[in-house]
Amino acid sequence: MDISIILSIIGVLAGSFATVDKFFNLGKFILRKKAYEKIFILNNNIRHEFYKDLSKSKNDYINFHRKIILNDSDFKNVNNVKKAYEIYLDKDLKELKIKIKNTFHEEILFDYLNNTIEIKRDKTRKLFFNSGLISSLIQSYLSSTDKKSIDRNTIVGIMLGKKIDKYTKSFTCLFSGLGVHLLLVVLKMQQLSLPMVGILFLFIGALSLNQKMLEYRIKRGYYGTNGYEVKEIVQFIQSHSDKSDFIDKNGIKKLLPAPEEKIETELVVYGEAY
Amino acid sequence: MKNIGDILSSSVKIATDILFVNNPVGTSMGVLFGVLLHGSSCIFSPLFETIKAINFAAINIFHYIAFGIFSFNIRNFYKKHKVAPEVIEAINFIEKQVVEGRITKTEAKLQYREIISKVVSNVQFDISTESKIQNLATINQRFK
Repeated sequence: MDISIILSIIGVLAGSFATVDKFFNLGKFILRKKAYEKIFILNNNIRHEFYKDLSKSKNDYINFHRKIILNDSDFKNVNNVKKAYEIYLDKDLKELKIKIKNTFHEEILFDYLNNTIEIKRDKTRKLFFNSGLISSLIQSYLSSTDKKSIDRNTIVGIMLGKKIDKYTKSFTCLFSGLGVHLLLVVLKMQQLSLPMVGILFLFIGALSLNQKMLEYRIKRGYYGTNGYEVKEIVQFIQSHSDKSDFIDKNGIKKLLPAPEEKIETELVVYGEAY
Repeated sequence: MKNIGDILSSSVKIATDILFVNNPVGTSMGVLFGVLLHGSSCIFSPLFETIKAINFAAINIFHYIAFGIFSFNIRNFYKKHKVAPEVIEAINFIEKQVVEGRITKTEAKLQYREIISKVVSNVQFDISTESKIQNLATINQRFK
């Protein structure tokens, strides 16, 4: 069989899979936002039900206010929401906690995205091409607790924001290439070239694979744990720093703990963000 | 067994990075350029046929795309961003220690992270990045 036909078949398979994956991730992303809205409505309904019941004493109202009613700032905290529902409905709500944890507060979400990805520009395109990566980025950012990892995740988030920009541009170019070719075929200016479609899909597939791997590494906390990625991150930091003030001449001593210093092995890298 | 995902994902990522010459935008634009060139060559093929000295029919789609990728990446050969030598030294030092068996891979991972944290804390960012970092810190506060 001709090599170009094999290439085309692999390309078409990879590209189609990548495109389906994009739709799937976007769907998941939208569902998470929708789930948040549902919980928000539920919160309002509980409040409403309580006030409708006229048999409550004054103390009940005060307690309700104190324990259950969630104002908007409380609502942004997942644990507060869970606790409040548990008190109100008097049962353990494991399921609800999972549900709430998997939702994004829209306001905070877009604040976060505007500072890393600059989502205001080309919002739809960026979400379509990168929703999977964006989801894992947000979750890893929210899961970081100590100051060091927050700082690290902040920088990595800003860096990945630039990367997401690049992915969006690249996907746009590749898909418009496909569009141009198909348009010329429809206008009968050119014959359909299977190798061309194959190679375009192959590039789309390869770029999606690259993105998927990055997404996986971020989700599992592997990102930034090998020399290649450290170089990538440091390169980004260098290009966004005041040139006069990068690293002092102490170099390696400042960057590394002394070799004799024992590092606790039980500190698990697995699962932690970065 | 736990490391299989780590090793596999990092190798695939590096391989695809190389495929895109570490410049996905340039490479994709090169591909698009190749497609456009191929399209225009089909449209102008009657004109090209009048030139007997060059055999345009010998150029196929792969040549056009390769030409596009090459021309959009040539700038990258001259523009190289170098990583600070201290960081390279630190990375080499960790790699050497792993090879010599003085530290385990898990310790090496922690040390790699330590490098990033140290660089982040040592560095003075430019104004726009600094303001983004501040904004993100406030967002994080609101979550906790």
